[in-house]
Amino acid sequence: MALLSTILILFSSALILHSGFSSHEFHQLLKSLPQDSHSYLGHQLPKDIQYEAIAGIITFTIAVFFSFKKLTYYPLQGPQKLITLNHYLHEIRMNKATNVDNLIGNDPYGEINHTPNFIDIHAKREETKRWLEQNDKKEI
Amino acid sequence: MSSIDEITSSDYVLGNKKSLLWVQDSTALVFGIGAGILQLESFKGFAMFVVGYLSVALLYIIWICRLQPAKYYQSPINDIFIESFVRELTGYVMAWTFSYALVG
Repeated sequence: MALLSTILILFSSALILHSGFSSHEFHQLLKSLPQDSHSYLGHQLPKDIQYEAIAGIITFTIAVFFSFKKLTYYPLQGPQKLITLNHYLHEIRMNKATNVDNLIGNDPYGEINHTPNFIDIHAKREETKRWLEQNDKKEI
Repeated sequence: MSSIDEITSSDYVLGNKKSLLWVQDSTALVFGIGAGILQLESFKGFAMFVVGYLSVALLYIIWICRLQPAKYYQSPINDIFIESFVRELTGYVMAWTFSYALVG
């Protein structure tokens, strides 16, 4: 879709630029006519230029919408097959927005919550020592 | 007391608004350039903006929001139709007058 969008944007830009240049040429030509002449007074931009400009605008708008990608995920289990969901935006309700983070065990606020320098290292060492002693006893 | 449904993810609220703004900004500029090329004046130019703005917003709701904008925006009418109206109008008028002067 991204490639299609880029192609359409380039195509619509060409249409708009060409219609702009044609319109410019038409108005330059019009200026060379005497201002009281019939063709000057009843002048209107030729239909083909109008249609080209409108087609350019519509194509550009469609191209912008084509640039949106559907949400995709790799599953945690099973074959590594890309799962494509049928929507483009993320849901904002917290219980839906955190679905993926919860599934993969990700903490989006890890920068704040992950504070290893606040750990009481002596207590942890004691804990580990006790655990090792208990496990050693079990093994014996 | 607020219910659980009222708690929203600020990251996704901002992200969705950004997506909408990008669509509205780019289309408003191109509609403005188009209005200048077509040499539209006064009411016709503003009418083109209103028609373009509304059709892009409706297309966004249908195509991108899948007719459920409440899932992606806190207050859909305000976020999609009202909030960026003046911003897009100024962008449109700028592009319109610029291309009008360049072409004419």
